[in-house]
Amino acid sequence: MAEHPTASLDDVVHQRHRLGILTVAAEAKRVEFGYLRSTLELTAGNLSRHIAVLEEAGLVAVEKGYDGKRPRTWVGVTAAGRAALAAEMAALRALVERHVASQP
Amino acid sequence: MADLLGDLAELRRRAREDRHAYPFPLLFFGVASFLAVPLYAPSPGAAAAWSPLTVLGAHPEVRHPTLLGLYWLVVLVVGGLATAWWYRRRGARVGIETSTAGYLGALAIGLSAPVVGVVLAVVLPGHRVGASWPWSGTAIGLIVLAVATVLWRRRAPLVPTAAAAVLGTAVLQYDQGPIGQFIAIGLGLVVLAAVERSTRFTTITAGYLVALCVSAGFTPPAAVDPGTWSLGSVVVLPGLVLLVGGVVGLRRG
Repeated sequence: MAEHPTASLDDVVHQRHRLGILTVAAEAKRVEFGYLRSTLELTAGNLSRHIAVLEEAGLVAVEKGYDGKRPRTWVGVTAAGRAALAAEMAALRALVERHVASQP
Repeated sequence: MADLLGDLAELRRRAREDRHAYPFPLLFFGVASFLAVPLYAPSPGAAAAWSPLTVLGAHPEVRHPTLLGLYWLVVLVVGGLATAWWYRRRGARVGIETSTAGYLGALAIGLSAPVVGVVLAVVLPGHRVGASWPWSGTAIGLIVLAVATVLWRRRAPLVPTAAAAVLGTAVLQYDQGPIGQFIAIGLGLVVLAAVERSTRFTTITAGYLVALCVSAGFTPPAAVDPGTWSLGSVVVLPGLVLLVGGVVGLRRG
């Protein structure tokens, strides 16, 4: 019997905001902290915590630098992050398909 | 769950929209195309001999083919570096940056044609692959490039993919010297359009490639009545598509 799609969901990735961070970061070479904060409508502290979780799991890489005198923090998705995001999206789509198929 | 997928799709769409910066290379190469027209003044004497720069648009029938070839070489190098700088600058301003490594790699492949062309000129006599069988070099180049594209999309090892891309592009430029510079620009735009994932930019790039085919089809190997405009007409159509595409990209944001 095929495994239920929920078994493929990763707790680190599945959290809504972390999924959002990975989705945006996977679209670009790197994304700035301020862009993520305004796009995902998160507070700086909340976003920092989510990024720290993803960084600890090796799913994103954080790069700190300066634009002139302004400190900037850039987030880039790693290869493991891309793979985890792809697996999460596949599991979510499988869940939706399963739900639609089970409707009378 | 469907709502979450919808939200993620919207995030993805917004991120793609925010990082678009393609009007710059289109406008840069479009303007450079029209600035090149005076360099297409015909030579009063016989056509110049083949040189490595012939594969980068140095038409042998113009008065100063080396100058024309050097002009396009500088335009390609400066345009590539300026585009990479522009994407980085826009990324810093908007907060989301597109990678230009693939674009620069594609442009470098196009720029390697004079070197590979020297080898092709030795291996394949007649200076033009299609001299005995018109368009044969173009067909071979396109087939090898198609193979390179399939390898790239399937994430095949870098060495065979790059080798196929370099060979296919060089053969194509060797056979279509007058538009060789536009082939290099087109290769870069195709990679950039794939990275940007913009429908509008992809459509503009497809239009540019069609214009390139039309331009190649209507460029005679030797002009009957060579003049600045008859020789320079080769840059008008692709240059116009680049300029219009750049303006459309600017207006639509």
